[in-house]
Amino acid sequence: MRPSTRRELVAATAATAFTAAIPPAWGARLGSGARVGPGSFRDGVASGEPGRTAVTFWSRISTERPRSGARLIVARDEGMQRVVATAVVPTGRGIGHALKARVGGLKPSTQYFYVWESANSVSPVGRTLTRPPQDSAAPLRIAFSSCQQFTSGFFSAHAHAAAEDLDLYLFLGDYVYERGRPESSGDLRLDRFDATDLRSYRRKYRTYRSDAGLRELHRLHPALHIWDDHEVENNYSDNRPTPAPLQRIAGYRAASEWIPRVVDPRDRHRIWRRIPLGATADLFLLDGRQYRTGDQDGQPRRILGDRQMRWLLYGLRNSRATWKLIAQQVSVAANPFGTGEVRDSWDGYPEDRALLLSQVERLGIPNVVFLTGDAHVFSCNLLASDFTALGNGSAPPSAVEYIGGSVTSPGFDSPEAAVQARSPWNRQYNGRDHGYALMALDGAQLVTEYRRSDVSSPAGMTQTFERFTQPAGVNGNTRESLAPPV
Amino acid sequence: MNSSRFSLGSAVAVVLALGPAASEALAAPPPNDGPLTAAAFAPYLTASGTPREQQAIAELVESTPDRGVPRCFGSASFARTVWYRVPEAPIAQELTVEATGRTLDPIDLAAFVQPEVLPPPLPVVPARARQSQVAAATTEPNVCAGIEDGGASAAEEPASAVSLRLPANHGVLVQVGRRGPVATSDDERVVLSLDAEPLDGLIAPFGDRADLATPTASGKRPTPVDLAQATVTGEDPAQPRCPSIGTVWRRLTPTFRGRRLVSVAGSSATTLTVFAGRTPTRENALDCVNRERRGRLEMVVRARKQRPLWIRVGSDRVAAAPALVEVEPTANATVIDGGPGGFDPTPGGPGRGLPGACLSYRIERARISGPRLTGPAGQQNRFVRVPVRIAVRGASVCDAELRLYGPRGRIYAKGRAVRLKGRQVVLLSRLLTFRPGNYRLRVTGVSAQGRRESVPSRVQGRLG
Repeated sequence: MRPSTRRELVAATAATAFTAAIPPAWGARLGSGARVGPGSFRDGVASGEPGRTAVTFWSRISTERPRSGARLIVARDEGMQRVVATAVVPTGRGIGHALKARVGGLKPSTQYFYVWESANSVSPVGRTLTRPPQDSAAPLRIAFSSCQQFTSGFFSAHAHAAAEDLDLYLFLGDYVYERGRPESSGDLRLDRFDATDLRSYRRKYRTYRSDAGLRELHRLHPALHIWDDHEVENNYSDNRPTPAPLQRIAGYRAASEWIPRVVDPRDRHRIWRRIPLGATADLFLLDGRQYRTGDQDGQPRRILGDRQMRWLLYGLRNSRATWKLIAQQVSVAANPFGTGEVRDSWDGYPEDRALLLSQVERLGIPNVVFLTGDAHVFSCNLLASDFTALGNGSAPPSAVEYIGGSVTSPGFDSPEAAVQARSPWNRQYNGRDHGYALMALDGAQLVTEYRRSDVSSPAGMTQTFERFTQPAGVNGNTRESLAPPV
Repeated sequence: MNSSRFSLGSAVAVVLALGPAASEALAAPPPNDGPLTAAAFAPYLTASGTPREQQAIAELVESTPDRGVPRCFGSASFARTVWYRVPEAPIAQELTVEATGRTLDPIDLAAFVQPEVLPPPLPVVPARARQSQVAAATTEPNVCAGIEDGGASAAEEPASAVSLRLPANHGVLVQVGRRGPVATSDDERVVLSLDAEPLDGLIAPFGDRADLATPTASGKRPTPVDLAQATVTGEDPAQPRCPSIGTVWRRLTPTFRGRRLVSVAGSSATTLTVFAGRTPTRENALDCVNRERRGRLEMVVRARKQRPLWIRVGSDRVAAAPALVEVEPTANATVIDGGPGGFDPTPGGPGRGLPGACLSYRIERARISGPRLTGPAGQQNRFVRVPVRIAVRGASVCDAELRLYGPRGRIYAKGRAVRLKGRQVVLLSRLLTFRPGNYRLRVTGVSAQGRRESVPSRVQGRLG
C-alpha cells in the first residue's frame, strides 16, 4: 500500500492536475520509465532561462541510489492549489542527481510556483516568472553580479536581491572558484579543496549552494548564468597550461548540472544565445571564455570565435528592441583599472573589440549596453572603437559598459580620480565594495544602481551607493552618488 | 573543425593532435576497438595537482561492433564500440565511469568484471604486464547504462554512468558504445572519467557471489542477508533498470512447483532480482524491482521443482544494514508494481510492473459505475472474496485500490488490481461480516505522475 503522506505533501493538487506541456523531444524520454525515487532536497530549488511560455526548473536529490527521480509540480499559486503542470523527472549518478525539466505551455509575464517531491521528501516551494510577450513594452528589472568567492564572505548581496522585485537575475561568471584555500588563511568561510575532476567540481557547487542567500535568490527568481574562467580554472584559456579535456569538461558539466538552462542538443556546452525581453530589450549572453584563440596555439587572437562574433553582429543589427543588453564576462573598456592593458579582458583582443564597436558605430545601432563581470569592481565606462579618440573627445561613445562589482571576491581598489586620469572614458570606479547591480529599464531610460553589501555576515546590510540614468538614444548617463564610501 | 574552436570535441581534438598518429587513427578502427586491445584510462595534471579521477577519450566514428558480446539494450545498442580496461587492485574499489559527448545523443556503457587475478609469486610482475595474460571475459555484462535505464541517461540533459563496488584483484573492462547513424568525429567522440575510490579492509559478505557456494534461502522462514560491503562480481547479470552498487545472492531449489512470493525487507535493500536456472544469466532473469520508498520489495514467481531460484538483493551503501529475504508459497498473493516499497520498471512479470499505458494516461477522466448493490447482507458473508461488478469509463485506472465501505464507515471488503478497464467483476477480500445497511465502493488509482488519486465511483446500494 502506498503511504498517503506522498499525497499530502502538496495538498489537493489532484483536482486540476494535468500532464505538463513538455517539449516533444523530452516527452518521449518520460515514457522510458521515469519514476519518483528516494532522496532529499538539500540544495534548494531554482528556475532559469525563462521563455515566454517555458521555464527550466531545477533541483537536486541527495541519495545513494544510482537511479532516482522526482516529481515536479508547477502551480499558479503559492499554496500549490492551481496546478498547471506535473512531470516525473529522472536522474542518476551520471548527472550528479541533478533534476532538470523544461516545462512549456505557460503564459507570458506570469508568476508560477513550483515544488519537487521525491518518494520521501519535498522541496521548498520556489517561484518563477515567464518572460514578457514579444510586443510588450513593459518595464524590466534585471539584477546582475559576478565573482562570488566563497571564502571571501557571505553572499549577503544575494539575500538582498532575493527580496527584490525582479524579472531576471544574471550571474556573469565565476559562480564558483576552483581553488580551495588553506584553513589558516583567516577567511570568513572554509573551502579547502581544489576542483579538478567531475567529483570535485560537483562538490564545489554543493559548497557554494550551502549559502542561504544564494539558495534563496535561486528559489525566488529565474536566473541566467554565463561562465567565466573560474568555473574551470583561473585564466585557463591562456593555455598556460592547457587544461586537460576532462578538467574542462568536468567544469562545464558541473555548471550545467547545477544551473537551470536550456541545453542545445547538438552542442551541450554552448551558452551564447539571445534572450528576447519583449520590445524593451534583447539580452545577448556571450561566452567570452570557451572559444578564445591566440594564446600559445598559433591561431589569430579571438575572444568570441568567429561564429559567435558573426551571430552577435547579426543579432545586434536585427534587434528591434529598444535596449541591446550584452551580458558578458570581462571588461570591454580599455585600461579598465587605470593600470595599463589587461590581456585577459577585451584589452587583450583589440581587433575583436574594434570590430564589434565599429560595427555598432557604422550601423548606428542605438542603446547598446554591456553588463560585465570578472573585474571585481563597480565601474562604468563609455565605449568606442577608438579609445584614444574617445579619450581626447574627438569621437563620441557608441555604447556604455556597467561593471557590477563582485559579490565577495577581493577587488582592485584605486582612487577614482587616478583611474579616470589614465582612462578618461571611465565615469565611476569603486574597487573596494562588494555587492550587485540592479538595472531598471523601459522604453525611455535605463537606470542602473550599484549596491554594496556587508559580506562579513549572512545578514549583512546592503545599500545603494550609485545610480546612473541613461536616456534611450544616448550613449552616456548622469550619475548620482547616493552614499559616501565606507 | 567548425568555428567553435574550443568546444568539447575540439578541445579534445587539439590534445589528440599532439599525438603523431591522430589523423591516421580517425581513418581506421581505433586501436581499442575490441576487448582484447582495451586501452587504459590515463591520469592528468591540473594546475593544482593530479586529480583522483582519470580520463579517456573514446573515438567512435570509425569503431566497429563486437561480435559475440551481448548488448545490454538490444541489437540497436552498442552499434560501434571501443574498450577500456581498469586494472585489478590489491584492495576493493568503488568504481564510477561517466561518459559525456558534445551532443545529447545517447552513449551506451557496459562494465564486465574480470576474473580474479591473484597476486603473483615472486618475482613480482607489474600489474600492466599481468593484464595481457588475462583473457577478456565478455560473456555477461555486469553493469550497463543507456537511455533505456530510466535514470541519468534518460534525463533532459543526459549523461551515462556505471557504478559498481569491485572486489580486490578483479579488473573491469568498460565497453563504450554509440548507436544510430554515424555522426561527425567530433559528435561521436566521448570523454570518459574513471573514479576509483579505494575501499580498504573490505570483506565481502556471505553470498557475494552466485555459484555453488551461494548460501540457500529458507523456504519456510525469513533468511537474514548481510548486505554490508557487497560487491558486483563477474557472474552478476546486468539489470540496468534496477542498478545497485553491490549485490548479495541467495539460492533456493524448490521441492515442489507453484507460486512463491519472494520478498526482501530492510531499507538498505535497494533492488530485488530473481533468476531461475542452473546459473543466473540475463536470459533467465524473471524480473527486477527497485526501491522507491519504505516497505518490502516483492514479486510472485512461478517455481518449478528442482529448478533453482537465484535471489539477488542489491544495496548501495558500503555500510548497508542487513535485510531479510523471504520465500513463501502463495496461492493468491497480490503484488502490484514491486510491492509496498518498490517499483517494477518493466510491465507485467512477477513484479507486476504497471503497463506502459499507465505512464501516459489521464486518471482524472476515469469514472466508475456499476449495478446498484442490493440483496440480503448475509448473502455476501458466504464469500471469502466478494464479487463486485463495475464499469470503468473515460480512462483506465492503474494500481487500483478498491474499498467497500459499509455501516459505521467501516471497510467491509477491499482489493487491488494492476489496472481496471471496461466492464469487469472485481473480487474483494472480505474483512468483516456484512450487516444490513448502506454500502459504497471507493476507488483510488495512481496517476501517470505517480500520485494516488481518488476516482469518482457511483457503485453503491443498500444490503438488507
